[in-house]
Amino acid sequence: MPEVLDCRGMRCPRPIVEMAKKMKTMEPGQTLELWATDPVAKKDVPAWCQKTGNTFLGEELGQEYFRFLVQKK
Amino acid sequence: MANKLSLVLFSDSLDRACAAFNIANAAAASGMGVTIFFSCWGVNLVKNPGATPRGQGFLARAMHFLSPRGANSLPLSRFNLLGLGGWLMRRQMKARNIQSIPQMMADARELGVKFLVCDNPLALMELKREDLIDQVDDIVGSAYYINESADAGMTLFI
Repeated sequence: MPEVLDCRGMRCPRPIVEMAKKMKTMEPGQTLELWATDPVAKKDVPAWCQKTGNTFLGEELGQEYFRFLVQKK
Repeated sequence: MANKLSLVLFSDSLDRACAAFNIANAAAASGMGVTIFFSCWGVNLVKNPGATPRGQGFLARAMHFLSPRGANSLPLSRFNLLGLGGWLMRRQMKARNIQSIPQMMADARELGVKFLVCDNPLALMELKREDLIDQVDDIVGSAYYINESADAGMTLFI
């Protein structure tokens, strides 16, 4: 089961900052499920993965909030 | 080129500081080594709110009187309206869940962002290390800045 990080309500750059802090505490290969409502997270989360080398596994852009799945490298 | 961001924060306005810390924190969160050089008016962001000039110079006293007292009370670079604009903007930022400057500065430190302060403005403002917040790593000159930034993949002056 992936660890869930609830960043709903937070605005840029906080979801990314909180995700980076969380990832530091995780082991390589572990997955993180990020919840966010910030519209720019749709662009920022894949971009962050590209820059950091972590794997963007997928997203679910729901009506209420977005869910992103990221695997630590 | 190193995976580094070197940012000069020259100004002490709320809007510019927002941009600076937003970018600095996103860069640090993305694994970049980040250094912020607080120069000129930027020193007001790392000043202890209670700090006052140590000498009796007129310029330092006048600047102190007309400057923000620290990161909590920054003016807007436009529409400040004698502080009303800054106050309204802080209220709106809070209402919209946008982080305040002190919150972003705390995040920056947690992410390992280095805070360096330029020495000349300290002399002009008649301030010493003890008048700056604890989070300041060092007081440096421009050669230090050059050495630190020359290989940075990204440099910004805000």
